[in-house]
Amino acid sequence: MRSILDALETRYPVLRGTIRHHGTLERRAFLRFFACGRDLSHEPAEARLPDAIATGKEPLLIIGAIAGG
Amino acid sequence: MSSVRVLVGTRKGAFILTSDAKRERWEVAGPHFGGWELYHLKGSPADPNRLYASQCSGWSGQVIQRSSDGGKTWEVVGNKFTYDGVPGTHQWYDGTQRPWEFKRVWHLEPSLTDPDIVYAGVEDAALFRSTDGGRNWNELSGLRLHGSGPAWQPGAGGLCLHTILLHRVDPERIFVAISAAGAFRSDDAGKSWKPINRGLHSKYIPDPAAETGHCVHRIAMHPSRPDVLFMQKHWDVMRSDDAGDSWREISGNLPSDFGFPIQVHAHEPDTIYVVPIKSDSEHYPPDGKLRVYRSRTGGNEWEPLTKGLPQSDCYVNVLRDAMAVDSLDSCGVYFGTTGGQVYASADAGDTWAPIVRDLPAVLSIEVQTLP
Repeated sequence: MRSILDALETRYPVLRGTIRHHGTLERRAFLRFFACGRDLSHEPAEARLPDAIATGKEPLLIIGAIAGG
Repeated sequence: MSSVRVLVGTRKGAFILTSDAKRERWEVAGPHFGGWELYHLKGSPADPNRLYASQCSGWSGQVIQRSSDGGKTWEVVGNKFTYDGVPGTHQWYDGTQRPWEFKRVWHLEPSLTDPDIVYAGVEDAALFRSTDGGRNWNELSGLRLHGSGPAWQPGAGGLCLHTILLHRVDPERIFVAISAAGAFRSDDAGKSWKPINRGLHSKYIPDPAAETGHCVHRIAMHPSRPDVLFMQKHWDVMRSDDAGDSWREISGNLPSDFGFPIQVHAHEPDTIYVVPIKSDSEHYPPDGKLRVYRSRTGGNEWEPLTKGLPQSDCYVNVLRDAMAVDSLDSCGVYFGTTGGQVYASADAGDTWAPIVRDLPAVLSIEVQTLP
């Protein structure tokens, strides 16, 4: 997970701080990571992603949590 | 012919309202950054087309936007606000200590002379400065670390640094205000700070005349007289004639001395404006009548300005950054409400008319007078 987010922020620096906190690189509380029908939000940053993500067959989805009010 | 540009920050985006000097017909552009909270937008006095905007959301946090064409297009700049060293702790609502944690930018104040220099007042309270147009931010940590920081506590809106005033004559002098810590002054361009709260009296804190701990809602100054300050405190409207070294109350005949914004007429340094609201729990105008109060005597003697404003069943609030003036010959006064109205007066408050009525709740108003 960490390497994908690192690559994303390298390509789009304006995203720094909006997905992960500056410094700690912890996921912002109201963002979620989904892939291959699974919620990966609470996986360790070093956890290996499903092969389908690595091969490009499935997308990694970064979405805002459904929280309103 | 001169024109006016009103920058409106709301709970769900930014709007830019423009008019010629008559200020009768308005064009409304926006929402910019729809769905995001825009705490504040402000233009550079040195380059009016350089705008800065504080954009944030509970999902994605803080973003700083910059425009170089008066708000037609925007680019994202830096959003890394890191406190110097080990941040330490401040007081929480229950009296316990809590670590300083960056939450959002409440106020952006561009330099008077350099469009690339801009100050940011943030929550949890601290002052940051960028010298490269908002790309990188450095804390002026002498404020947070001057000694009283652990005793600062949040107001109902959070522990926010909401007011930044740059002295028009002495470039080393800066005033800031924090809820709920008080007012502070630097005489060395932000390196060191001292509390300037002598004369404030806040009966709801253990020592009503404490050096810090006062819930200052807003401070205003006139550019020609930058050591005369006017303050809307949680309760009480105050005035200082010595750059904040001492304060005296000027609430006079106001129907309530609770409120948030305070502003000074562009050409009359002793003409000031406030919007009284009923109390710290109610936050709406007394008697359901939206009234701006004007003093032409530097305080104490106030007159209600009502023509064109709702005088029945009105229960909106006007937040601390949501009032501003233009500098046309006949001074324009503007304010936005939590009900989404933006009112304008082209005759210094004598008469009012809404520019727009149905925006999201208004958080901030700034006005640019363009040549």
